[in-house]
Amino acid sequence: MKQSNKVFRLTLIHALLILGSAAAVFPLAWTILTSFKQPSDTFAYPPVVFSKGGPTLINYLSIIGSGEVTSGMHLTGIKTNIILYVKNSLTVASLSTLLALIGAFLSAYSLSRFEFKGRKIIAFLILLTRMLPPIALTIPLFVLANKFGLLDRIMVLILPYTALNLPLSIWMLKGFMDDIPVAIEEAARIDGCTRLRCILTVILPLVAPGLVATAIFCFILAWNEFALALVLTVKSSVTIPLLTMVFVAEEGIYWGPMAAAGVLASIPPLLFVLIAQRYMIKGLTLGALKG
Amino acid sequence: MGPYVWFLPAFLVIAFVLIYPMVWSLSLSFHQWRVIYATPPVYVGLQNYVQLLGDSFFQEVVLRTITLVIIVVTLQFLVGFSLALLLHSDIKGRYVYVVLFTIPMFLTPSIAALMWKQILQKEWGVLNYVLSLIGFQEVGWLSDPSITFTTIVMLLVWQQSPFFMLFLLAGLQSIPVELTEVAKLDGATSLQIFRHITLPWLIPLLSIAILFRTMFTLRTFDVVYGLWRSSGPVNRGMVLGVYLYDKFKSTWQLGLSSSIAYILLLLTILLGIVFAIITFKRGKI
Amino acid sequence: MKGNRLHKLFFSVGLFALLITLVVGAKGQSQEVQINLITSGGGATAAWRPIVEKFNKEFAGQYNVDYTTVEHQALREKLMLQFITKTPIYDVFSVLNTWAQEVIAYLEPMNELMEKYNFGDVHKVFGGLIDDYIDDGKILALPLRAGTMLLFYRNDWMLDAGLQPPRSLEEIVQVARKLTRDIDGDGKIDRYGMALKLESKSWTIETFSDFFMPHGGWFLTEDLTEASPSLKGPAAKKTFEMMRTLWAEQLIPDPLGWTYHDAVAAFQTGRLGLADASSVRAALIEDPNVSEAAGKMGYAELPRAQLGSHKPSVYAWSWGFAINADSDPAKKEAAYRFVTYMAQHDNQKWMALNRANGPTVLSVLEDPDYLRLNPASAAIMSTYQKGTRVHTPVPQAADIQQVVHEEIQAMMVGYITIEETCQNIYDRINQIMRQ
Repeated sequence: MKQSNKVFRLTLIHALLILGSAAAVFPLAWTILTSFKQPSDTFAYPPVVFSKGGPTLINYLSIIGSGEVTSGMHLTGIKTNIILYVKNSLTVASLSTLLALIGAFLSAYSLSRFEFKGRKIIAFLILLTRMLPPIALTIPLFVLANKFGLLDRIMVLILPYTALNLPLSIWMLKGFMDDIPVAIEEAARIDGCTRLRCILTVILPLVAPGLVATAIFCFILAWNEFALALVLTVKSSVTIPLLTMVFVAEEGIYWGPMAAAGVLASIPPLLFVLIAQRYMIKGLTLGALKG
Repeated sequence: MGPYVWFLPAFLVIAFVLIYPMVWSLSLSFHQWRVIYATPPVYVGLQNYVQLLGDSFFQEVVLRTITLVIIVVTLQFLVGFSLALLLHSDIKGRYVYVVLFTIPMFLTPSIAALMWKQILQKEWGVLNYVLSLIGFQEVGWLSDPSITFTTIVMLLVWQQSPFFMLFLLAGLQSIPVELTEVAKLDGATSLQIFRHITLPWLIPLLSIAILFRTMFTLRTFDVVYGLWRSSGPVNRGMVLGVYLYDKFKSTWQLGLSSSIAYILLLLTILLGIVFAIITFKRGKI
Repeated sequence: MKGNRLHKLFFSVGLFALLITLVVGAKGQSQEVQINLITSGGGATAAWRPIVEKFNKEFAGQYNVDYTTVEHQALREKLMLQFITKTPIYDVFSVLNTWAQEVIAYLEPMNELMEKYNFGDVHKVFGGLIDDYIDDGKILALPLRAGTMLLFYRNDWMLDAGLQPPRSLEEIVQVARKLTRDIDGDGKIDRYGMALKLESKSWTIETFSDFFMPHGGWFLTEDLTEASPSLKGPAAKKTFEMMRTLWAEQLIPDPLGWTYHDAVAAFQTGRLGLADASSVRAALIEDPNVSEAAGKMGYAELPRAQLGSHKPSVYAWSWGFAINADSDPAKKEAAYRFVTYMAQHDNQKWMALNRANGPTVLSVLEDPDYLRLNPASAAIMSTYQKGTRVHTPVPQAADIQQVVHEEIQAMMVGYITIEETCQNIYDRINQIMRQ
């Protein structure tokens, strides 16, 4: 009886997960399919999975390379230097994630472990800075960036993204740290390790899942942020979200190349999540927990 | 000196990047600045705020936004939490599922919106096609004013439930195995473990997740604008984020849009306080 | 003695070095002037980019244009941002005549430079298209790409059904009734005989104007100070009746979700038989690689009649190139040379014949080669000649368009009557203009 119960439970779980992931993945799947179709089949009805001649690479070929994007034989006038966009996005996203994690970890530790005056106020103020919609920051940030000569440089996006990522990261890490009993730390310190070593060997592994989740959020925010990227970049530091807009033209939308760009733009975050989540889910962190 | 030093890196970045713009924006909210006339900003005190708060259309927008937030965050939490629980158990293919479920979060929003626009198109979109195969009539996901709100909810839940999933999955994964194991040895049922170990462990994290999701959902803009380049059929998609964008980048009323931004901020604080009171009653933050 | 000679040596060497520096420095000053150009992307860029490169080659060493393209809405934001903050990142840029009034205060008048370089009479060169860019006698942009609104239709379907291109609002409904069909009998309409775009305010105003304006309607009084009474008159009412009838009889796809690229896609996939559309959309519909309607389309003028009190007109759009008033004088002059280069007959003709550009200079518009090549050119020329104008040529354009959009959507869904729609639009526009 217990065995069949277990099998039933497992099947049910899998069924739900498959259904859920189908819903989650569908738009990306549709984008992928569109990117491999002839542009004329984008709107075929009934919808087709592949074009008559099978999947085609013309959309990808047209956006890779520094020439003008063509759709069919049509010159679109669009130039996409995909390498530049990807390079910039990767740099900006990775660096701002790293900086945010470091800054957040330190601040979260202080909030979680120390009792000091103004603790609640600081926590609230950190939250407050995130409460203004970023679109309201675009003009003053543009003025600031221009004043410091940072316009269209990589730095100009890294700093704001770090600033935008810090509040959530601080609060998240604080939450995870709060769950770790102070006793564990104190025990380690009685054994003679300094506060810093303590943090690295005791706290860090225990908040690993939280760190990973935070890192994923930070990366995704930086990867997809549009409002500030539009305003603060000119042509050298352009990031992926700006790439996708170039296919919307006054004569129509170039769906084929746009879908291809969307697929390519999804690969780095996908890889990031794929790699990062292995540090979040038990199996690899078992050892650390025993510390 | 001790505890404060730890904040230095974060403080430096935030101060440098956010303080000046926030102050600038606040100051601008007390002015009127219509740049299409190339006139300089004019000080008007609280006029923008009074005008907005007294406008029945604005009140409608605020109400719609708050309703959206409550419904969406609740649904996102339910879906995300369920997924996290499902993935917490040691099942095959877990790593694959996690990645798949995170996809809605990192798919470039503008492209996702255009794809959804295609999928949800009334006459020839894929969704209506599939529905027609099961015998349903075509639904005006993007054109029927009575469905607009539902469409927005659908898309927001699809897009951001993974936020809860990741957050709570990380939380579940960080519960020390010893705790649950000892409880099992003592004869506790799964339900009892859930109620007395898992849930208390997760509640602080859950509060933070709900707080932030509320904050972000209050300023919803991408989804609506991506689908309609406007506020939806008969303004049914007019939420605060869209209203802000419209007054800012469509009609270039810089003073007014700054006040809308700050009203959003105040609203966030308000909801945050309400939320804090509720959770404070239950335990700790 | 030796010291004296040494002194002289050092002195002459020093003088020589100074002279060299001055010469080289002076040469450095007459270096190439670099200007930055930004426009919106797509087909326009395909037309303009080769001429930009040609300009850079021809004026190498003297001027160089660096060209960036972005999407339309992004262009408006970037431009306004640099104007507000007085940061001239882009020295020359494209503006659309529809919203040119919003940025007119920030554009550099070209009158002086036109004097200097003997441009001549702008009206002789551009005809009426230049009027959208003249403010108080100041010439603020030169149109380089233009088009107008036409009726696009499937010529083969019309012939099969024994129909002529509609010449009145009633005929549009009749054509729609004949063309909208469920071909394969599965209960789903496969072909629509008409479509209306009401998704967002730019499209709603365009759709409404396409029928309202050629019937003598307009949004403002001729002095641009208040709402025009024609908004409550027969031109408006008949247009609304046509729109309501089309939707009530289910002759069109759901208009509240329909936008410009839906119409393009529908033509391309053979689902649409008639629509009002901008001439620039013909490009993708006539591309045989992506469109099954290629070679089968027909283009006609929008129906017109004198119902309202204004002179019947059709909306013509144009992209004008303007110079940033905040840029350095040297850059402004370089920009002027560039813009006028783009407007030269040969370049305009090349762009029209090779890149499907809508020409703006009269000499090309009347050129037999152009008329032969572009299937829509006859209808375009005829429309230009009968008079075109921007629907809302005032800085408050965005607000007015939003009002029209909201009221028309409410009317189509049945929340308000046609009379109420007319009255609401009239009242709300007056409200806007009085602020």
